[in-house]
Amino acid sequence: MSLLLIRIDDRLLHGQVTQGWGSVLNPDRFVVANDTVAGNEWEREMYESSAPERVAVSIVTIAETGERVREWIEAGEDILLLIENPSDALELYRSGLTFDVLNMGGLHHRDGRTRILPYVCLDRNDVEALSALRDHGVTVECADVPNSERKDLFACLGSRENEI
Amino acid sequence: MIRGIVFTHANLGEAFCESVGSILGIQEDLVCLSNNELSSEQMMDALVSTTGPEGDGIVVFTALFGGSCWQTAERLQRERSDVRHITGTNLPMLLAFINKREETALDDLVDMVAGYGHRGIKP
Repeated sequence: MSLLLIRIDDRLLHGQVTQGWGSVLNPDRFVVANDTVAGNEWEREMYESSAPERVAVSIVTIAETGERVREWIEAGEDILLLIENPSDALELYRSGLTFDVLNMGGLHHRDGRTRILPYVCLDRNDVEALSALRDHGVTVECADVPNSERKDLFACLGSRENEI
Repeated sequence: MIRGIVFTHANLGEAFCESVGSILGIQEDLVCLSNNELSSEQMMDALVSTTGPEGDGIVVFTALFGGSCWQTAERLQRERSDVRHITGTNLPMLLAFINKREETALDDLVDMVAGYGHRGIKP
């Protein structure tokens, strides 16, 4: 039993995840690692209600994610983990929840971000956090839906890595 | 007039509105909105702008329970007393909405629309 996918997606748990990736990977549990959602009962309940009935949903803080995920995996579950942004991914990695591949599923446009792919826009903080993960040996693989072509994020970035 | 917003993935909302137009004629207070390439915050901004000033009420139609449009519409419904949200949208629901909205109160209209949606599905 394992972590099937660790995904950065600023929409967190939504159709591409519950219907798209969920149908292909068949996780036992979607885990949303996000301090804001974990601290808001209404948002938590909304996300918990939004997945197909056969899949559990857990909303956890970044700090507790590593331990909780290890417990679920030891109990025999397959997990799909959702993170809102690269900084949270780096914080998770440094807390001891290590991984080799990180799925970049969606970081949408806002002021200060540069578009790399239709569904990936990065600012300096994003690039720095992702570079730090790369230095740990993590491959950041862009794919919004399960059958889209896997693109290496840093190959997409090219020389813009230092310009953003 | 109760206004309708069809808020969906890709160009489904546009296609829904065009389809309603081809059956009942073009409807002024039925508009579409796509979540394409928008973050959660941008989806909320776009939905709020599309609702316009408060009036007789607004029904937001989404298509996928649990999807990002559904989440955004749930958040807006929680904040705004003039907004109702219904998901699982199909064409019979939109046709019923147009045909009944002038003679039906907002909450009754949403229940009625849901009923037409259910009855439009025949295995």
